Amino acid sequence: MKLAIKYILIIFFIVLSTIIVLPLLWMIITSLKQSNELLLYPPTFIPQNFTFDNYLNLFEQTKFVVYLSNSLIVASSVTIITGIVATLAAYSLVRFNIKFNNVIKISALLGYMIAPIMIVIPFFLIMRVINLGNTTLSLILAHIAFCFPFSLWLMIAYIKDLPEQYEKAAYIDGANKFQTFCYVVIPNVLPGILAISIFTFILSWNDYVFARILITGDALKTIPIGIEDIYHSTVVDWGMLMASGVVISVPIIVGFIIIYQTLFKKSQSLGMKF
Amino acid sequence: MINKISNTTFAVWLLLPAIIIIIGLIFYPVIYNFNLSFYEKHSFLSIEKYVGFGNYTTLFSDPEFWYSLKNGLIYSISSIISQIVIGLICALYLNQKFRGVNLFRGLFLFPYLVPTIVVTILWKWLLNSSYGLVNYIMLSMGIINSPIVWLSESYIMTTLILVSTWQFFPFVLVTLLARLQTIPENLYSAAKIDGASTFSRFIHITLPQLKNVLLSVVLIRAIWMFTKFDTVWLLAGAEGVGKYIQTLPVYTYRKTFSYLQAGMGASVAVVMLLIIITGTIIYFYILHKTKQELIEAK
Repeated sequence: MKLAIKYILIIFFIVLSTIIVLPLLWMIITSLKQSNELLLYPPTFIPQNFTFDNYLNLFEQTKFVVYLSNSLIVASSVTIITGIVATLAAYSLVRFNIKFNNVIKISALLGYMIAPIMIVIPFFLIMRVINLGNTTLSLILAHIAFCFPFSLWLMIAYIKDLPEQYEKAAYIDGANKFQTFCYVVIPNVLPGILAISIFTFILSWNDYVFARILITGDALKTIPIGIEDIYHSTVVDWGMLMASGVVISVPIIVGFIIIYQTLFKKSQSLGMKF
Repeated sequence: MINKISNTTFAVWLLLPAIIIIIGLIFYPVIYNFNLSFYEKHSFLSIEKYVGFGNYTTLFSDPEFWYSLKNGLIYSISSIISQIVIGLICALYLNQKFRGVNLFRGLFLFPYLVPTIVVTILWKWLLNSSYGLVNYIMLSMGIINSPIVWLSESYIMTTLILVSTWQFFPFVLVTLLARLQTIPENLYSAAKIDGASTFSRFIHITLPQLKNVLLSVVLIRAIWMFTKFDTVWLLAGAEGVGKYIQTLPVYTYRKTFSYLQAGMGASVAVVMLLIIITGTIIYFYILHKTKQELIEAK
C-alpha cells in the first residue's frame, strides 16, 4: 500500500515535470527544424535534418539586430540607474534614521502594487507633453519607475544583513562617510547589487506593455515588440519565432544561473516580481 | 570638509534621487491619471473637456465594463487557485532531498523567466489545432477523440488559465519553498516519534508554518493577476476570440488606443486601483476577524 502511494507520487511528479519542461524543450526542437518538417503529423521529436536556418533568417531577414541592440541599451541603462539609486537610498534608509524614512519605504511598497497598465497611459501622455514621445529615454524612465520599488526593498534586505561594526571600524580609522560608503559598504554588498542588477535587467528585457505603448518607431523597438511584429507579419514562421524565443531567453537564463543561489535566500521575505 | 556634514544631510543626499523617482515617475503619473479620469480627452490630440464624474457614469452603464469585470474575476480567481495548488505541490516535492533536486528547482523556474511574448507564442504553437504537440499527445494517449481547437470561443478562457498557471506558478513555488526550508527539522522528528502520519504532519506542522507566507502570496498574486495585461492581450488580442477573455486591463487599453478615449481609459484604471485597495482592506479585515475568533474560541 505504502509502496503503491510512493510510485503514484513519483509518476505524478514525472508528469508534472514533463508539463513544465517539455514546452521549453519543444521551443528549442522546433527552432532547429526545417519549415516543411514542422507540418508533419505525427510531429518528430528529433529533427530529421538539423538546421540553423531559422537563426540565420532571423538575423538576416528581420531587423532583429536592431531590436537586440535597442533592448540592450534600454535594459543596461535601467539596470545601472536603478542599481545606483536603490543602493544609495537603501543605505540611507537602513543606517540613518531620518524623519520620513517610513514614508519613503511605504511609498515604495505602494509603488510595487501599481501594475504597469495603470501608469502606462498617463506616462504615455506625459511623455508626449514634454516632447519625449517615442524616445528610448521615455522607455528607460518607465522601466525605472516599474523596477525601482522592488530593487529598493531587496537592497534594504541586503544592507540590513551587513554588520554595522565594519563601518564603525572605518570611522575609527579616520575614513569619512563618503569613503566608508565607497570602500566598506559597496564591496560588502556586491552580491546584493549583482542580484538587483540582474533582476532589473530581466524585468526591463522582458517588458512588453511599456515598450508597446511608448515606442512607435520601428528603429527604436525592443525585442518583445519585434517578435510580436514578426508574428503578425504575413505567414507565421514558427521555426523563426521559436528561434527568436531561444535567443531572447538565453541572456535571462545565464543571468538567472548567476544569481540563483543568492536570490533564493533573500526571496523568502520578499517574493519576486517580474 | 565632507566629514563635517551631518548625518541627516548625508542621508538626505543619498535619498534624493530615490525621492525624485518615487514622486516624479510613480506618484505623479498616478495622480495625473486620477485627474485625467475627470476629463473627456482624445488619446493623441489635445482635445479635452472637463466632465466631472461623467466618465464614471458612462463606465458603470457600459455592459462591456461589467462583462470585463466578470471575466477578470473568473480569470484571476481560477488561475490563483491553480497556481497555489501546483506551486504548493511542487514546493513540497522540491523540499525533499533527492539526486538532481537543484536542477529541478532551477528548471521549474524557467516558465516564469521567459518573456510573456515568448510564452504566448510558444503556447499558440503547442496548442495549434492541426500541428500542435498538445493535441498530438492527448490524441495518442486516448484522452481525447478529436483535436481540440484551444483558441476557439469555448476553450479560450480555459487556455488562458492553463497558460497563466504554467507561467506564474513558479512564483508561488519559490516563495513557499524558501519558507519550507526554514521550518526546523526537529518539529517533524518530534511528530514522527509521536506517531503522526505524513498527512497529519502536513496539516499540523507544514500548513501552520506556511500560513503567513501563503496568505501574502495569495494577496500579491491576486493583485497581479487582476491587473495582468500582457498574457491576456498577447494570447488573443482584441479581435475574434479576444473578446471572450477581455478583462479590465484589456478594456483600459482598448478604450485608450482603439476608441481613443484616454479619459475613459484613465477612469477604468482608477476603478481597478480602487477595487484592489478595497479588496486588500477586506482581505486584511477577514484575516483579522478569523484570528480574533480563533483566539476567542481557544
